[in-house]
Amino acid sequence: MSAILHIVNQSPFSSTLLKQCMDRFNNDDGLILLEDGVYGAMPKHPYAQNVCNIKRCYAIKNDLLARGISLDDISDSIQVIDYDEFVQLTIEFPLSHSWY
Amino acid sequence: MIFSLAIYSSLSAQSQDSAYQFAHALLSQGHQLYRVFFYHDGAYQGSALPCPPQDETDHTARWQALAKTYNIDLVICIAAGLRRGILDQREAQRYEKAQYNLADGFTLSGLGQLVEATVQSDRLITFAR
Amino acid sequence: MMMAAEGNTRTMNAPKKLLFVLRQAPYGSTLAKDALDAILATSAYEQDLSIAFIDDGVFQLINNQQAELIDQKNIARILSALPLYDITQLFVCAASLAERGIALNAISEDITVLEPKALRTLLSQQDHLLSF
Repeated sequence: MSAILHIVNQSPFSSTLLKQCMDRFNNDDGLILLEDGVYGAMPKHPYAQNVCNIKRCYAIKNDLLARGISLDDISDSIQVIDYDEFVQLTIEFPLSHSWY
Repeated sequence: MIFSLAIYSSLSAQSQDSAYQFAHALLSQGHQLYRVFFYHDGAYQGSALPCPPQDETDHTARWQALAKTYNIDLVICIAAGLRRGILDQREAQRYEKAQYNLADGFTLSGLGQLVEATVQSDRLITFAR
Repeated sequence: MMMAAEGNTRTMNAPKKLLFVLRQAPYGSTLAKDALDAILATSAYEQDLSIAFIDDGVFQLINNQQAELIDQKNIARILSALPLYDITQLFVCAASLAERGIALNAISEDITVLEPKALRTLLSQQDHLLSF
């Protein structure tokens, strides 16, 4: 069964998007947080524990820094990436789905 | 690997910038960008008329430059474009409009181009809202 | 760069499995209708086309829509015409329906209801997911 790379771009504080994505998440899937979705990398939203449990979770570095989120303040389980790595992930995962 | 991008957001959404950053990165890595298909509010990106302040990015110009360098097919969905007032000369004549505004380097074409892009591409990435 | 000859070879390959994931409620934005227009365009290309209604996308399926009252085209009526275009692989998420209190008799019959796990399997079998 193909793993899916989920791409989420809205804040979990203002939208149920991240929750809806988590509800359909399989163990082998990946999650990329970008744009306002990087607020999902913060430690205190309702689904933070779910996010921490994801083996392959990524957040776009420039989106974090642009929003003043220190890379030290996000969960250790989240890998900070740039667009080169984003491209590589879309190659590695056979399928991607954008949640918006 | 062959990529196509589907863009549904207009200039006010950050996703239109994310799409460009993604396109730039994949091309820099030597992958092919088969088509960028602008649909829904993404059609607004095909207008030649936006005048951003000098200290802000000219998004249209940026896509045009990338398309020219890498010979990318930038397609504005014709149905979405017409609804939003993004016209080329032919459509302006057809609808008897006084002006047309499709930016150079973009073409107006049908939804079939989105389908064809999925057939020809290994990866389709969507950027919206 | 892909040469034209190789491009032709690609179109002669087996049909691609394309799944439209529809998550938007109808009418509040034109995105739901735009997705259906894309689906109809896809039907002309002889690909293996499926549609999955999840989250608020399930609202598109509710019977007795009177879209003319808000000057819009009736989404349910468009959906009911899909079989005429040989678009028959329609799926809806059971969990999304239950979450919204939508009974099965409130939606169209020509659709397969899938539990989330089965729906996830369906997603994983595709070549491309078109996210709407």
